[in-house]
Amino acid sequence: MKRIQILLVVALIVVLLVPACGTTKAPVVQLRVGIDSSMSPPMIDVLTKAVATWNAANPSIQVTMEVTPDYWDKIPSAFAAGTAPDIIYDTVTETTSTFAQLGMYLPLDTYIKNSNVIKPSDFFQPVWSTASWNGHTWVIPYNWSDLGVVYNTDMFDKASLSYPKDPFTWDEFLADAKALTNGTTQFGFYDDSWPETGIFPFIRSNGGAIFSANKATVIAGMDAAGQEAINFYVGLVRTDKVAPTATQLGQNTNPFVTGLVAMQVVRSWAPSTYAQTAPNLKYGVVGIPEKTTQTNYFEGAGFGINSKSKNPDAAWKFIEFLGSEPQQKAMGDQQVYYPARQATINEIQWSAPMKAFLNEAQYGSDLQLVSQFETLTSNWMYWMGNAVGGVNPINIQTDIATVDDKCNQALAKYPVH
Amino acid sequence: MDISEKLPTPMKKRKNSLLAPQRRFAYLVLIIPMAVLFTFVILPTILAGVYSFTDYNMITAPVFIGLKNFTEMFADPIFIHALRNTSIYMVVCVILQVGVGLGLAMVVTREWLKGKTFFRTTYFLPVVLSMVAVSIVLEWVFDSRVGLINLILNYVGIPAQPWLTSEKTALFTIILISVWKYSGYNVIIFTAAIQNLPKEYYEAAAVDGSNGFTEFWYITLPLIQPAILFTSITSAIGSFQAFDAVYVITNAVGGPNFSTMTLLLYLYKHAFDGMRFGYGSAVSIVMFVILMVLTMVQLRIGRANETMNA
Repeated sequence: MKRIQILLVVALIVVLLVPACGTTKAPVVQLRVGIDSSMSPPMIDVLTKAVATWNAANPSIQVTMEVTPDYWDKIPSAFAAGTAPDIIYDTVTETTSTFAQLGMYLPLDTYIKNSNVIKPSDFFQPVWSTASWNGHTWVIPYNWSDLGVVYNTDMFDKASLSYPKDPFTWDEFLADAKALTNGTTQFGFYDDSWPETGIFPFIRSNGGAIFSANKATVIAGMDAAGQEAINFYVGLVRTDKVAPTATQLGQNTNPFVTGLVAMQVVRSWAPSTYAQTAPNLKYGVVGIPEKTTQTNYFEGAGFGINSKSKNPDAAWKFIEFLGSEPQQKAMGDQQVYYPARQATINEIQWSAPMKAFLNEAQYGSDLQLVSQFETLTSNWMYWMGNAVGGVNPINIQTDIATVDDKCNQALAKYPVH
Repeated sequence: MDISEKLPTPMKKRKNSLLAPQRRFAYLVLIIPMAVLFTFVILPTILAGVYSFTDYNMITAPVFIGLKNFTEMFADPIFIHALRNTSIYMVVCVILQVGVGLGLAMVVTREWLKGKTFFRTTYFLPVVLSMVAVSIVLEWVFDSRVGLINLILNYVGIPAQPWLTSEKTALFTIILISVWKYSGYNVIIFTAAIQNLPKEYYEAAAVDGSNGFTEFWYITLPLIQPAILFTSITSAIGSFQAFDAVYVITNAVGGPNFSTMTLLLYLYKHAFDGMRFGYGSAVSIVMFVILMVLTMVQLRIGRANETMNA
């Protein structure tokens, strides 16, 4: 009995001492990066691979990617609840200034200053500038896109029309749209209710402004050039009837792909979806129709650090990694978005449509939207949906004043500069 | 003299001690649902009342602003749209859901009808389907270009209708979807109510030479008043909170031209898209008050009818 007791004590000592004699493992930092589930599948693939590459090379900092539906509704709530991811995906033209004002982000200036990887001058400046607000940088841009008009070359050939070329004037555009419209199964153009791919490019192509010079107020459609552009654009549905009404469109959310319309303003990532959903679609790319000015503008995305993150330094390291040349090239090689790094844009062999969209970028400048909350986009979209629906009555002059007024109420709460 | 005073003391103590563990168990069992009710209903209602007087984005601390949310709300034409749309939606839904439910229940309870179980199951099936799934499918059924309804109308020579694309018809179309989905629940309630009616009344009425209509009007309808009251109240409460169909079908816009904007969608847009939880709380308080008043009115009418019938 005594022997057994001694043996038990010895065994207990051995069990307690052996782990203490082993090598101590460094604590592993766990990071979470949140992205929007509506992001295009190739982008989700790129980020999944980036996370895998990072995790293999950095065993002490392990990253988990969370693909979240209804991301933009959930992120602020998650932040308030203290459950937001360490690294937040951000559309730099929409949410940076508001999230920064709400205190959701850490300012990145010190990290940037000390970084050998992220140099502001290395990045595409229009997108870099929208990642800043109130004198600080809050997000590191990851990618960007611009706008152009896609046109169905088969429809143009059948109508014996020559393909549009830059500068594509309003008159040429309207003439082509009329020639390509039969009023039932084919229309020349699709009037989009989203203002960024709808009315705003037309306002700017007529020399009109969206914001006042100091970006303090929204004045879209309040000047003569803007009013003329709105009348022209809405008239495509209501007067010229070269764009389908909401009734003629029905639930068709891809009128260009389904062959209902011959031309549409789209973002430069559209070709990647056409390659998946309509590989036989033959189309060309031309700039936004202009009246007085060739125009374009950009949308971008990037990553910021949650101000409540327990591991901001580790989070910065991962963001640096995403902004590095190899990762930017890997992202650009997907032929969906352009990399935020300027030099990397030139290293990629772009497809013909992507090259054509890239060529249009020279006419662009940034467009900082108010925020995702009571946005410029949604206020204008409510009105545009009805205006280009072409079914219900509108009063352009009074309606626009009301829409801009609502935008300015939101802008007063969340200024963009 | 109270009988308990006559009982010997051990008997009294035994009686009380018999009940005490049962009483404790009863209270214990009640604590859990009360805690859930308090956490998920009472407390949020109180907090909504408090936040309705603040400017609150859920991230920074709420700032007291008095009645500003309410004055802004009643001055917002979109809120007035939403209030009007929701009222129309509720009134029409209640009339149609109760009427269709009662009509189908009258058919299903006929003695001569074969396959009663089949019919009851068929009518109840839409109730158990997800409203989101139903909305996605029926959005296509009502599509103005290729929808089934317009194809049938064209076939019989009626022009295609802009069901969901015209501000004149969009709300009515969503009402139809809601009536199709929820009437089945009322069919079950009315079926149970009708089947429990005493047959002697109908036998006596038959002897007096009554027909189907007089039986329904003078016997069935008065006797199922409680069921009518119940279904009216539940239909009103349910339709007043219309959200999912409108959200899915209009992509959360409430269009065309705000013709399908409902109070709950309006609340959602401001609270979650706009991060204005104080304003959203104010809208929810207004909805709460309206529903409370409606329910009390309905109960009053129901009690008055019961008194008259008695």
